Amino acid sequence: MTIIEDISSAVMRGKKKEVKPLVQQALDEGIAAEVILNEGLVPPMGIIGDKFSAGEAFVPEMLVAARAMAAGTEVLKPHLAEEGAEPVGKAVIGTVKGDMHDIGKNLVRMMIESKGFEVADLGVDVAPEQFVTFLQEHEDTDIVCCSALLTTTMPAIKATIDAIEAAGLRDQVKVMVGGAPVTQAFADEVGADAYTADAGAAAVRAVELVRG
Amino acid sequence: MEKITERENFLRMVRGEQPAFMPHQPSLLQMIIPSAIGDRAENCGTGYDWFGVHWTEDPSMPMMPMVTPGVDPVLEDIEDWEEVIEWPDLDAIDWEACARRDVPEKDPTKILCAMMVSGPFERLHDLMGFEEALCALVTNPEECEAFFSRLCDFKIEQIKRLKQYYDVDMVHFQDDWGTQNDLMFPPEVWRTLIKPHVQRVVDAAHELGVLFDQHSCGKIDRIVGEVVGMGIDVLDPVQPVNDLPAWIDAYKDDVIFMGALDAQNVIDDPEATDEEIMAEVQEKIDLFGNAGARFIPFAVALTPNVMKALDDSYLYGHTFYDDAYADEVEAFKEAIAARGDGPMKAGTVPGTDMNQ
Repeated sequence: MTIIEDISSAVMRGKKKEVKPLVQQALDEGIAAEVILNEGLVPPMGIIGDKFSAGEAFVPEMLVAARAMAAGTEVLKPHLAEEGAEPVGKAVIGTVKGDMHDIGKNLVRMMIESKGFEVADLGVDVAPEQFVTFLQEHEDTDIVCCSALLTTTMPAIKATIDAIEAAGLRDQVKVMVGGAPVTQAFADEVGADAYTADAGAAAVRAVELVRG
Repeated sequence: MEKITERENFLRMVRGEQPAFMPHQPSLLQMIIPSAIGDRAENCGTGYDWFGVHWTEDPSMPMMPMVTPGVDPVLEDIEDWEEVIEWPDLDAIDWEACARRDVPEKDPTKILCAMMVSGPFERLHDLMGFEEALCALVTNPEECEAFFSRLCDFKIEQIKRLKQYYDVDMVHFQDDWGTQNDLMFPPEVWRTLIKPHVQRVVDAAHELGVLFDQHSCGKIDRIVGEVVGMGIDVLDPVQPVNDLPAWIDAYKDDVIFMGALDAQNVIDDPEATDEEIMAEVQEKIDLFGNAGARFIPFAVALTPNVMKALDDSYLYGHTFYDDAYADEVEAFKEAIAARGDGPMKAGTVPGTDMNQ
């Protein structure tokens, strides 16, 4: 196996402690950071995401793989900056006001990051005006991701989209929505640009949204 | 014809017989959260539980506190569980006094059911945080299993005391394994790390003459046959994200189903009409009842609308099999009218009659 294949294999198996030295070894061998990222770290996450969407992998496997990838990315960061690598896109994510649940939101963040996005995580119980303020301060944001786990907090997704609209920012960002009770019909009703049923699919959709 | 109580009706179901009427969950269960068991802060409020986990109460969801976000977990690394976790001393608790306080009088018409929250997986994520617990299941399964084994031993000791001092009829054993779409972890994780130890708790309860209600929210289609196969008496809340017709076909002779009412799309929908709620209740009672399944209508819901659904379950369910209980239905209608549309009693778990 090549060193790139070793890195991919370690990410697939969620072996954070193996990934770090392997990535360092690859750098030492003179492989470009962007190559290590795009050929070693990103592909296994895509495979795990697809498996998750197909019901063949589960949340823990996705979590440990995402953490392994993040460990590798951490080693690469300064080298990527040196090479002038640009993120695929920029996103902001949060669980909407009144809702404290963060597992699904965190998974989506990790999976979108694994596609090469820079993601700002506003946390849970995020008020519409917090999303708006963030967008005003970060005009290069491509995607806003809103999550709700509870039926009772779903209306806060609509309130968030309305607030972005009222602030005159709606045309400059795409809005993705998700969470256990959220459906495509609800996404259509509130005027979101995208809905996906799981984190793996969310990452794929995010790339489609920025690539047009 | 002699009328029977909710308790007698339920015991018929436990024996595998057809009930005289569809049970009305709040009338059937004398539900308690035993104060002798400290799996939450006192009165399910804000504070520390007996493992040192800090909980925060959400006033909009009485009796359903959550682990306080941002507080450092009690257990950071599963490998340290034996050193870090301090197991409460059950013998230092005055079980007799707690029982007197929690159950001043055992209702002979009901089933006395003790809620036991934080089963093995839940307790793991209470202690570690959700993500760390999920990761530990796949990165360090041996230590997780050792912890689950110890926790289930601890649960068995609690059930012994619940029987001795409270004379409970049933325990409600809560351990959520499902998400909206699937299990939270691979089925093999449940099968090898969790199931063998929950099985021991089920067996121990039965040896003590205590019925066992296994609670798991979410979609658990992949393992439901094995869950039922542990010999549990009741499975709840059988949420509609699961393939309920398939469950009925496969397991109606083996278990009593409690739940099935759709909270997510109907009961908790702020736009749901009274007619839609009644239609949901009728649909589920018909689904289970017409198939000969033993069924207790219920839902884990977030809004007081669940009380309306449970009222409907009485109105439709008490004459589902025949009209012998038509008088009771009329009396219930009058009771609803007399009660008015006042807000749900504070500090009440929807659909249950709590003593705390």
